[in-house]
Amino acid sequence: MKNLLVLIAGLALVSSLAGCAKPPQEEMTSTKAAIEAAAAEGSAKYVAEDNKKVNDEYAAALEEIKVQEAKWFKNYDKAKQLLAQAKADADALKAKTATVKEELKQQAVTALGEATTAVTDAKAKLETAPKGKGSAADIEAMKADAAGMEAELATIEPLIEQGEFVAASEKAASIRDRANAISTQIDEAAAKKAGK
Amino acid sequence: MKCSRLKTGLLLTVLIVVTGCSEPPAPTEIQLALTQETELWRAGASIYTPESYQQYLSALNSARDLYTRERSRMVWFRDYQPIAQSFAQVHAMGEKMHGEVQSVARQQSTEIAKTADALEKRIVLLKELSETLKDRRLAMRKLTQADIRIEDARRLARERRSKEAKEKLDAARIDIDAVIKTIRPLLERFADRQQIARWKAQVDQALAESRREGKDVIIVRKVDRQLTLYRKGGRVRDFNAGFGFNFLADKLYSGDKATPEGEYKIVKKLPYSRFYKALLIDYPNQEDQQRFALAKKKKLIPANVGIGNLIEIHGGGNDSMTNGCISLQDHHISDLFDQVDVGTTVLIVGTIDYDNIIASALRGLN
Repeated sequence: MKNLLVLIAGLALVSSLAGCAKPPQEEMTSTKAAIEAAAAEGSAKYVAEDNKKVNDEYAAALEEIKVQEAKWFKNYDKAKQLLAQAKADADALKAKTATVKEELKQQAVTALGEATTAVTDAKAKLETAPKGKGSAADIEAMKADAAGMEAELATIEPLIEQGEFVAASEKAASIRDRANAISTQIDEAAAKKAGK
Repeated sequence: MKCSRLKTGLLLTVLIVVTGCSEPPAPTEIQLALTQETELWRAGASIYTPESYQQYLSALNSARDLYTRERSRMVWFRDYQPIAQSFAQVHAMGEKMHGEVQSVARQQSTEIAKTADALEKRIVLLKELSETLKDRRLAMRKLTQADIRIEDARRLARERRSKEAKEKLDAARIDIDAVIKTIRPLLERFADRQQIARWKAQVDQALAESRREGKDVIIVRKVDRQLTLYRKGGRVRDFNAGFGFNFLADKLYSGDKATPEGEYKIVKKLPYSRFYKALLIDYPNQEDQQRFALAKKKKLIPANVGIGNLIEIHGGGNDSMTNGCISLQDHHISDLFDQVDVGTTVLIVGTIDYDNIIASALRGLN
């Protein structure tokens, strides 16, 4: 009889302890904060796929918490595991976002530099281009082209400031190629003239 | 004995409780729906079909809530059948939406590509026109800017940023329209059939007179950039010609860089000129003076400008970079110079071809 009482008391203790288990509030808060920190870095924009994965992991952890909250015997171990994984991934996401962002920024800055140099070179070449018969009007047309490129070049810096690095890089590359095409044309004309 | 039965009962209870807590496998429909949601997100459902996507997410969340609730129950009371059905319904909804997303994406991409192509076509037309006519105003920097913006729009469309792509295309269209608006008044008269008929009549009359009187006549056609020497009504030789910076306009006053249109005479032959050799014509004629006086009266031209003079046919190349004169290559002016006398008629017209390059370009731009 004594043994029976002990067993009942033990079961009552276990069930009361299990029923009173609290949701992992601290883990939830820290995981959410880690996700928000990655988002503030621009994870949705620069590493969208990874960003979604981490958010889905967090949502799955919250679902698990909901499941346990409704149970009589609560067990938040799995939820804690899921939250820990989501937090680790969110921390990695933040670091990856910063790396990718910096790489893209550097690419954009380099592309802008190349485009600026190409436009400056093309303009300089246009000033000294051989103005032979029939070429003066073409040079005027190319100057108009170069002026258009220069005007568009001015829109790239704001793109970089807004974090639109891919847009800035591609636009700069397009301007660089157009300016280089002018320089090539002038070089070819000069070579042709020298060969005569 | 009694105690032993109680112990067995309690052990059984514990066993049932423990096994009751173990997780049974989730219905396969759940994983299918979750994978599908990621695929829809990747396909750009939130961009292309935002309303349907919200409805889909709402249905998916309801199914997930049902699943969460079901999972909270003791294993013996769980029924995954309705959950599986709910997720299957969500999956069917997603399948339908996937087709819709692809269709909208294709439609938007086609629409953007079509608009970009049409705008690029107009730029190419304007640039070709500029190259052919050697008129620097046609090669405006705005065209290059518009061209770069179109390229931007194509990139944005690839990134599924249709709204921004359309904004870029609108900006490019505004630039191109501004260029066309500026040049249209200059170009339209070269597509005006009545005007061309008048020029044609002038040419026919000059050639008839040359034939009748056995005289030389020089006919200059601006759009074709041609100067032709006729003798006794028959063509002697064509020369490629260049004109003023602003050659599409009819000369009105000094400094407008336009080449005059009308009938003139060679009044002086200059064997030594800044531009090799030159034939001076009698611009302004009476008609020019009347137009100038009228323009001045109507305050269409600056008050302090004169009508201008010293319009010549000279050497120096034919690249349309003069202040209004007609320029030929040096060996061409040399040939012409030797063949014509003072008093030779010089008739300068826009064109006699109804389907000239400007008329056809204007049709393309429209």
